[in-house]
Amino acid sequence: MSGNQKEFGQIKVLVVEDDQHTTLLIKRMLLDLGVVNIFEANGGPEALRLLESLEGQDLVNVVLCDWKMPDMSGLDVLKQIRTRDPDMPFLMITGVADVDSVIEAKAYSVTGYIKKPFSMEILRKKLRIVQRILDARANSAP
Amino acid sequence: MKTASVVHSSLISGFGRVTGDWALRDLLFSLLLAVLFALLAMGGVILEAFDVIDTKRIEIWRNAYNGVILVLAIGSVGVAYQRWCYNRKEIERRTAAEEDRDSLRKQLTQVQKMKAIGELAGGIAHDFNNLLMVIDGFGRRASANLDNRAIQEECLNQILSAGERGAALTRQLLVFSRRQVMEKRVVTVGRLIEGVQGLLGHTLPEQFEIRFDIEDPSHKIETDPNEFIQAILNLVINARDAMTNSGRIVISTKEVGTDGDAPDWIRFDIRDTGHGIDKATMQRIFEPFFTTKGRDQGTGLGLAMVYGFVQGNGGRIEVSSALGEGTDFSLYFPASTNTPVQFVKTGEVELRGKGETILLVEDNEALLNLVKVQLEELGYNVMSASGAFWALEIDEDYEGSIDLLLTDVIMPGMSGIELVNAMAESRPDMKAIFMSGYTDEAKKTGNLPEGASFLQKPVKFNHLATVLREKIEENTQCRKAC
Repeated sequence: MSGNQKEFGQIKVLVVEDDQHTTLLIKRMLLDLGVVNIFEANGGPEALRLLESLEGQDLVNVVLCDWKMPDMSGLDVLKQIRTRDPDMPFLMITGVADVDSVIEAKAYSVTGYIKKPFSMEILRKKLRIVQRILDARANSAP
Repeated sequence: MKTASVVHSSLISGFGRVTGDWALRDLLFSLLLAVLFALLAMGGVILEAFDVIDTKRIEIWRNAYNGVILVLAIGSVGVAYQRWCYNRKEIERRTAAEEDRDSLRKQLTQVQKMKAIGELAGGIAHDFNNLLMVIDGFGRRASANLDNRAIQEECLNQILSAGERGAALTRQLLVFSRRQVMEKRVVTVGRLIEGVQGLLGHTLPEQFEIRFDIEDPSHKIETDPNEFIQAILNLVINARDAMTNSGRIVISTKEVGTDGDAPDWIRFDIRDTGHGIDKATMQRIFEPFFTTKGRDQGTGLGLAMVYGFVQGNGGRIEVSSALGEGTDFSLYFPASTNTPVQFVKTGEVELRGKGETILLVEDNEALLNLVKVQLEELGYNVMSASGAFWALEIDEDYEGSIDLLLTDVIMPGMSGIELVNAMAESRPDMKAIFMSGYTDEAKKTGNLPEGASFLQKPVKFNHLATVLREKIEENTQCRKAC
């Protein structure tokens, strides 16, 4: 656990998911991986409101977002987030995605995908890559 | 622009000088009044002391004297007040006039800027539409004649040729906008002139005489030799077009200014005996897409490219011309004292890959597919990723060695430079080549690393093959982003 805490100490996650059970599962997995800074939003509109209220506080540095949600799709959440933060790592959680949607998400600079169902190992790998991106960015900052 | 700034500074200094003169004049005026009062007062005392004034009439004198002083004092105060009011009004008037002039100047600059952007956009649209028409037309013709090999060959050649013309056009635009990555190196004047001579043979018909007057071939400058030769070639072509049937072009070099043993600047002059340039044309010669040649003869980018190139080298350019006598373009480059590098004979490199593994990262899907196919054709084992995240996923998953990372520079979320640095720890022996058509972002994030290999898009197949082989066969191992 302590190793994980060190590995993902800088990761601050916002989980956007309309299904309460899935949210709970992802939160548990993140906590097991040593991520302690976790916010959750029950859908796109709530996620955007939350990000707006947290703006400038550096409390979220990666978004894990479900693709299919009733009020607002993951793609729409991505589009909205990109208007205010073009570099925020954004991982789309997908069950089945059609090719056009994937291409559109790429056009809005989706950082990567996590395919459902995913294991702890998969999530660890994705977070490790996000961590490397954040580290590289921090090292190249003037 | 230079003229405008000169006008501006002279107006400001002139305005300052005028207000300064007024202040001095008013001070002198006040001093004069003070001296006058002092003299009058002293005069009265002296006259009384030496009994020049009849004592019987002294009261009358004193009253008259005081009356004169009072009138003079009131008059002086009135005049001084009037001067002060006048000065204040004049300052306000001139400030307002200066503000009006400034506002007009800004509006004029804005209008000129919009006009230049309009012409630029129009020029680009025109030239690219022509190219797109050729590509589209011949593409359709080829697809309608799939069974006719001769027609297909002709169409493909036309499409390839249009692609090359498009690449040349963007290259010129990038040099003009100074966003082209120049492969600068220290080169001697002699070496540069050799390169120019090699190309001029194909450009100038026999009736035109060309002379070289090189002061010292060992002088050195730091530049991209290919871009330098292209710039000189552009000037020579213009010189040739300015001469109708015959004439002479002189290319000369000269050191200008000295700091110790080494010169400060090296000047390259390209003089012709052509028809010269009139005043109106002279003011616009460096504008992109401004041309005095026919639409099919010149793009109007040649001199714009030369201007951008010289500026990009920290140099300057001067033009002098006399109608009917000829034109002289003087290009000034900062002299270098560093040691010239040796040119690599790329022709000796075996171009095919030997099964090395390349990780290709490019966010443009079409380009990614094209380069992937090219690399595979060259005999490399290719893994491709359409962004930094996917590249890092491959880095995490792939257990074999990756010999080389070929990456785009500007990508959303993470730049190519950051990607190379992020992989430096996990792949310490991996070499890297950057490719881009535009490097402002790279410059913002701390420049391309020292010694980094760089491919300018669009990349020609042979050039890609050559640079890859050279990089892979380099002896040095790069630990971080080189």
